[in-house]
Amino acid sequence: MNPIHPFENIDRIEIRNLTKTYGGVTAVSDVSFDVIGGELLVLIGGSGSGKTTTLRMINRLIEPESGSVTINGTDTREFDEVMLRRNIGYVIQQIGLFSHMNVSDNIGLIPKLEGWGRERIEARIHELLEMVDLPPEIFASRYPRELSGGQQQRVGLARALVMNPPLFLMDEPFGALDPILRKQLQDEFLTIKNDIGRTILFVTHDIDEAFKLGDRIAIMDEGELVQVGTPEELIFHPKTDQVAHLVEADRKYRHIESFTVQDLMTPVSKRQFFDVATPVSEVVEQILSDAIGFVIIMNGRNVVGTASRHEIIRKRLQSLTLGDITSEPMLVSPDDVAVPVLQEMKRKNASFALVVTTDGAVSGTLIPDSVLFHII
Amino acid sequence: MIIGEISAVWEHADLTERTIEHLWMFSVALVIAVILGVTIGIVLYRHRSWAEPALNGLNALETFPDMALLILLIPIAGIGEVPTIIACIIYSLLPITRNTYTGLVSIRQEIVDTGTALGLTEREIVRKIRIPIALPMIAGGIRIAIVFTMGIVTLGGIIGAGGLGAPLQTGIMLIIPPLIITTGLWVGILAVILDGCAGIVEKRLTVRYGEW
Amino acid sequence: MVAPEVVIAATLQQVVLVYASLAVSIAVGIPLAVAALSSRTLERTIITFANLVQAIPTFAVVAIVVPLIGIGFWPAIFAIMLRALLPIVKNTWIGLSSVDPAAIDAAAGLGLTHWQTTRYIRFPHAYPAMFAGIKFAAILANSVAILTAIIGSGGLGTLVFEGLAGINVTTMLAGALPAIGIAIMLDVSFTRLEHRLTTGEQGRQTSTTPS
Repeated sequence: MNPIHPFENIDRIEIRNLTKTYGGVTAVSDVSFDVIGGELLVLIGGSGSGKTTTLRMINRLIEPESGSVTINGTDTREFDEVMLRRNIGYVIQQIGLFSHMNVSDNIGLIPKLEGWGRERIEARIHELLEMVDLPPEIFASRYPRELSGGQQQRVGLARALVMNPPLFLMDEPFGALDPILRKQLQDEFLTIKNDIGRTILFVTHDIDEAFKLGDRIAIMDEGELVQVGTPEELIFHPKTDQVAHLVEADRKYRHIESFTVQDLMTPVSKRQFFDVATPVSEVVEQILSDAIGFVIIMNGRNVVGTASRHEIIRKRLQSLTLGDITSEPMLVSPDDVAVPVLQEMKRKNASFALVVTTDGAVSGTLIPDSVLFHII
Repeated sequence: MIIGEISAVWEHADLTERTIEHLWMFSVALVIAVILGVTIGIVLYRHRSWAEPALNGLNALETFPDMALLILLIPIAGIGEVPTIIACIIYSLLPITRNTYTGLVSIRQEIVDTGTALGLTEREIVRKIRIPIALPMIAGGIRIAIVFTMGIVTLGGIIGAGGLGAPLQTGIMLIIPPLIITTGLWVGILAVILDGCAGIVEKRLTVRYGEW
Repeated sequence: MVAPEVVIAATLQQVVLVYASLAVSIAVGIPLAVAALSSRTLERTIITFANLVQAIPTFAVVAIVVPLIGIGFWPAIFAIMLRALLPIVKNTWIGLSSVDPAAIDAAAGLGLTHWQTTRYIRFPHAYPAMFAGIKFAAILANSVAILTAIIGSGGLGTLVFEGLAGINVTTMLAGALPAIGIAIMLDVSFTRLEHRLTTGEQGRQTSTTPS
């Protein structure tokens, strides 16, 4: 383990049984969860839920009474706390820029303390200011009081990024901004989130922000961890009524942007599958009795296409095989984001789409009418 | 045993009389300073244009060493209590005047507007709104003046004004440690008590009128 | 009449007294202010004690030094220091501790040590207040230095006391007037220095209010 950079990349952070009390009040109670390397995990809860305290126990700004935080297998208490924090990015709601230093000095303070050469520092400052959309030639020598709230927050982000930390802790970073600016910064953050490629723990009280930015969401209430999972898991399988209410599970359409095709598709039944060589007349009886809307035509293991019931009934008296009446439906993958797929279906006037996995197996169909029932 | 020593020193140096002299000078100076200072503060409030030059002038006087000011007054007022009291007043003017002026001027406009809307005249607004709200600040200025005045009255002992400064000087010149310590601690205690009382009044007024 | 050389000599002694005691007060006061940062009880003790001493008449402070330490130059320096400490400690402490708490939190999160935070974040923020405190302390030191002549420190006070003893107004004024001159010089030069330092740093806020 490099003493200067104890962890180059986060594989996993294991948070086990964290507890912290102040006076008689339990701020955090026996909280355990994992953070997967590369993900953005949102910690959400109301005030007093313990989310900020939990966050600050990860970079040891607060020391837990009991429990542990393990990064890549090493307990954080084995690291020197100052060195730990230099390898963890930290962004807070009030930003906390140093008012007597200009933007350049704010960002360059830590590299200076780490002994970087002046040119290296300047290059890095330029690079970071470009990344956060603040042209260096204008902003590098400005002072915090000359910046707007959104600009200050961008500088705060650049400052936290300067040592290229593999782990980022963010405590309601957009909370102090007006709603329009907040949405704008969230959108920008989404685009650079993937460029950054880091593991991020993000605290917020805003469920919409959580759904927008989070790969997984951990819900806290009164110091306890209630549930942690992907947005879909929380929506479709909320553990408690409180969670269901928080994610408005009963109004899933609110979260339609989070859904993938897999969440909204209808499974197919084995009876819908037929070989391409099957004569149409044979198929008719089966689909009539089972009220199947369409059949899936296979050639061995490969999907050839589909045929609607209407077609089959119309052409039953002609001597045709399924292969002759195949039409090729829209093919989508289970991981595709649902809304764009539905929009394309609307454009092409497709009444359904076939959901096919990467190895060619049919896992379901996406039927617009059924989608509606899925999300109410 | 120590009490015996102290009372011996006390009687020998007539500390009771000195204390009375001291407190008398202190009271006279303070009362005049408060009346003058608050009045000037109100006048400056009424004639804002005079404020900056007046306050700057008082500020400049404040840098004068107090001993030097006392000496300057001797050709004019002689020695003894008179120059001492005058010096006290001069020094106390700045804190009291400045705080009175600032207190009157810095009240939030909404409060004044409410008064006007209720139908109060300019004079009534000053009397019923500005002055009460300015009281904590004025009290703060008076507190500073109390400390200054105690100090200068003590100095007065050197120029023949009596008070507790005289035994202090005697003790130093004749090197009588018990006298120095007794008088020094006594005047120190008096000063701390007076400052403390002023502090309590200031705090009460702040709680009551609350803007500061 | 007082010989000019005497006045000049006394003036020089006065200046030495002022700057020497100022240096000592800064050397003692600023570490005290930094120490008051690290613990609540320490902070309360230091500030309360300093406030208390400030209320005591200067003459009493000067006098009490005699039985405790003695007479002469260094006891005088000590007496002046007792007076000049409060403005320096209080102003420095206010400057150090009034930094935006979010900035301190951000500094800790970035990985600055306690000392680095004090040095790079708190101190620059404190300079204006610190400087105002030092200026005030200098003027105070000049005042006290006149008094300390009575305990054998030299300086312009010697002329003042001589004049008082012989009721010689000229001699008195020969001591008092230059002392006032020094006070004005101190005020003007420190203010000018203050302006140069603070406008040199891109328009940071200046504060010239004494403690």
